[in-house]
Amino acid sequence: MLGSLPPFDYHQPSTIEEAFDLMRRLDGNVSLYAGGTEVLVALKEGKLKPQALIDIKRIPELGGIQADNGTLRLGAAVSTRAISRSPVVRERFPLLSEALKILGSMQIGNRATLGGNLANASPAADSAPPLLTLQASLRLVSPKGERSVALEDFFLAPGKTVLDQEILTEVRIPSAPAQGRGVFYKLGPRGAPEDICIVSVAVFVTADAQRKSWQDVRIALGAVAPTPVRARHAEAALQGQPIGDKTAKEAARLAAEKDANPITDIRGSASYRGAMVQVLVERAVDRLARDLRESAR
Amino acid sequence: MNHVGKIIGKPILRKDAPGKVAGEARYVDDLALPGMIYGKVLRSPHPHARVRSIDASRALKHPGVLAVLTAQDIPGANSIGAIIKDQPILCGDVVRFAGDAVAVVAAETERAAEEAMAQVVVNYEVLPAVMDPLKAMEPGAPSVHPAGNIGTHFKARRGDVQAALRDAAVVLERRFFTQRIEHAYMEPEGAVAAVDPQGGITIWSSTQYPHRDREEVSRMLGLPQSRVRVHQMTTGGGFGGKLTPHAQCCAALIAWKTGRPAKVKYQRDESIIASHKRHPYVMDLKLGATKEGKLLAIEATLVGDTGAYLYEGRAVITKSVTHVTGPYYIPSVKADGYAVFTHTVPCGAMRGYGIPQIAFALESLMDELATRVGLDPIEVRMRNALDTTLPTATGQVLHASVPFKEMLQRTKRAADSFKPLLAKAPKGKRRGIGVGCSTRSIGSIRKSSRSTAIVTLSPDGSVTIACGHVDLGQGSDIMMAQVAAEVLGVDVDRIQLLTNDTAVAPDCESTSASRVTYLSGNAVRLAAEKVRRQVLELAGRDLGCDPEDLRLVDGVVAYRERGITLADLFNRHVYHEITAVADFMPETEPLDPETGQGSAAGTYSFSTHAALVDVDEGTGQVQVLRYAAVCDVGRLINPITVEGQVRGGVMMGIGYALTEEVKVNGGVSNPSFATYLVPTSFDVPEEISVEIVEDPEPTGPFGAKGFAEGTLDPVGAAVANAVSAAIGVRVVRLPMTSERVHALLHEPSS
Repeated sequence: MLGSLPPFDYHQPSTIEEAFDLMRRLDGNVSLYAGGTEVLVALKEGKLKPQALIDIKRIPELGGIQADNGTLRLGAAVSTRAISRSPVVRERFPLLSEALKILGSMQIGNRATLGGNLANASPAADSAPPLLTLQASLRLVSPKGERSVALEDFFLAPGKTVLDQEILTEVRIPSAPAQGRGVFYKLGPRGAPEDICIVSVAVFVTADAQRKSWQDVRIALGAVAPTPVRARHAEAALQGQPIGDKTAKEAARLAAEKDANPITDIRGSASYRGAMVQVLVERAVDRLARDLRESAR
Repeated sequence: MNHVGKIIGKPILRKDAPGKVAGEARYVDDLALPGMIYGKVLRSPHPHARVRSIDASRALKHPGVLAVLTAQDIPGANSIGAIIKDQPILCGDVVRFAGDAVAVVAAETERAAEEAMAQVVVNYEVLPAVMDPLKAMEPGAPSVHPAGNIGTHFKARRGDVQAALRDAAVVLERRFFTQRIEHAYMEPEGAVAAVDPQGGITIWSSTQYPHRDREEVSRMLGLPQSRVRVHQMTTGGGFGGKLTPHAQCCAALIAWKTGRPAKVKYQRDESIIASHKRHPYVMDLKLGATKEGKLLAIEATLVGDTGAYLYEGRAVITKSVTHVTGPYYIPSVKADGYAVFTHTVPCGAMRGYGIPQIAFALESLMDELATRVGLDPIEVRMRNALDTTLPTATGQVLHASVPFKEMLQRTKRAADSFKPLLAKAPKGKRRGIGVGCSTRSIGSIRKSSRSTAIVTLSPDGSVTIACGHVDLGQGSDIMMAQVAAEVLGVDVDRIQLLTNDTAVAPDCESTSASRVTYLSGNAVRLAAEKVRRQVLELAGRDLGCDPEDLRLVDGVVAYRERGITLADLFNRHVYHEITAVADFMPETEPLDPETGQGSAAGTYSFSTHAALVDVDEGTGQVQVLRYAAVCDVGRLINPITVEGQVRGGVMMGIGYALTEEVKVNGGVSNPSFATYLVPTSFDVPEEISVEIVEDPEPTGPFGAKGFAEGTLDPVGAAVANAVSAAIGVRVVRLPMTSERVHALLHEPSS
């Protein structure tokens, strides 16, 4: 049951070194805290019992949206709404902008951070499928150094990631192929963005020069496996195939049958989730085909 | 009367509105008394278990803990319940649902109380539980209470149903299911209690019925009711859920035992787990009609799952059975309603009170009948519509204010305005129109209802109204002020309402059953008229004229060009103020227990709604695009308040239709707003049109009657009929989640 917020120490380091120092001194008995949209609820539910919260919002490395050398760098502590509204994100990665727009209500979007949405490792995290299709990687920093991990390798299980005494500081998105375009579909129980999705699907593609066949096909699924996943079977089925209805249907079927591995929970049954993967993948590919046709005119 | 219509019918802003918008309204949780402590309720994790022992020794050693109270600490009656007092406040021997209270922990801080609560050791002997009402009715099912699992069997009998069904050209038969839903008021339950030096106790409460709180606390403590005083604080919604003052009793028990002021408030999940719900129903309906679509007979078996306790279940099932024919005349009626115990969260009052369930089932069959006999859905309803000559299911003929046929015509216009949009459905969507209708008796169903008001006119022309019907945010205070202002010729700003204090306001029963305008509006009107009459008689004597020729306006009694101020008049006759008391109780005739026949209420209100929906063929997701509500209020007292009620009721009904369902797996398994899904602003239709029909009720204040629950009653029916029309498959189960509608689209035979 929900309780009142338990007592905890609160630290707001202004450098990452200071944060690591706190993590060491408190012997790991800490929770990193940014937007608080997950952490504060977990505290009230008694699921997290840290001695201290370390508020990482003021650490410069975790802030900012920067585009350099074609790579987009998104600070892990930037709010999802700020990223969604950022002109450079809207221009270069409209897929990400659109997905983050419906990550939650406006109030949640103003608080929730991109790093938090990923580090929380929910299979239903709305930012994950679009970032998977955009081949994002994450910068993980520890006192010993730093490493870069592909987002696809970041999630281990519900609530579990490869983070090991590290702080996720940055999400990097490589320059996307020119003419690439994407679609994100989120199916929730209501019409509301604050819904935790039953299924989500992101599809990113390019077309060949003649706009006849699919290239660079990347499909990712949310809430149908222990982690957000790439739909490799579906991608392979579509790759290089002529742009048309039939291949979309086949790819969608494979996504549902081979790539998704859903469970039954309070939001939906495994069979409904499977059926919805098929519906949404097909819908997304059809929509991209239509967009391509329309932009060719 | 001189001023009729000057104030009645005007869109006057409610006095509570600005403070609520600005965040200045004070709710229970805003209240802190010196030395106040906090209580937390320890609840059973088991649906059914014997309490072998409760060991609080460790909890009592926890820093800041003052007491751990159990059933043994209750000095008076350990039972609570709105109508039937069958729920223990703290269970001493047996728990009957996962959420039943066994102890209350009192500590200096909320946190300390929570921590100590985790250290109370309850030794349970887990017993077999029955979770399904149909299984609970079978022989050999685990018993929830010693007298068996059928809490109530209420019957309606008229005519020879078997013969009528045998002769009917058309017979339709189906089983329908509705779900358990949560009130989801913005403010969860809460109370503060403090013992006074004279040995009484005062409660500050979030409540729909302060006098009920007073009664329950007095029973629990063995105190005279006069020594218990209840203040209703600003209450953030009730919808029937704040009629059983469990948090109030817990706070009072702590205050009584410790001598310290105490606050008990439920968290959101606790509110969803432990407070009562709308009854889920299983309904078997059989309808017989002629080939022209004239209804001949209805046979119905309604099983309502009342959960662990019956406190309102008997009245809810009675309401359903007495309204089994809806707003139609059906000559032969055989209906059996059962309120059945299970080891689940209790069900009780919730806005609609047994009508939304039966309306969903009956209106679905009415649409099937229309299809079967080849009539428009509105036309088949028109052919069977109640009027001022035909009896309701209980045999009551309503002699006035039955505008149902006019409402149907208006709803036909609304539905017709949706028709051009049918062809414009986007690819992949199926579009449908549905109508839903209902009626409801205003006030209690099993007995009559009475309201009492005390109206006091001061020499400066200002007015005080004491009347115990509290405002929960729906606007009854402004209604009463407008009624009194109309009679006494004053501005509503000069009227003060005293509804929220049992020490000064008479008991008018609960703010529920759409009753406040009809009952208390009348009591206020009658008391105000007494005051007015007395003033005019005094003035008539002084001015040497007939009181009938006098006017009372803004604190002055006027006769042609002459006038006398109230101050002068009162002074001359040694009145400091003039007070009158009046009560109102409509004429009713109790229901016969064998046939259910009788005159259940003073008046009925009707509702006719239409919905336009889109169904996504791929996902099954339903979206309500347009909604049209035609409402029957008798006479409009405050248009903005009425319109607000309608829009809120429609949205609550859309939640019932589409997404809301309290799921039980042992205990409630979705006790948060992340998993229990009420509609958000994204789910509001593009348009909700509100049409008010005024057909005055002669016994109502200025012709007004209640209507509040009618705003929600037929919504599930209208949306279900629209979805059924869109997909070509009859919906028999609420809510119509995407997954369920998807299944209907792909397995039409199911």
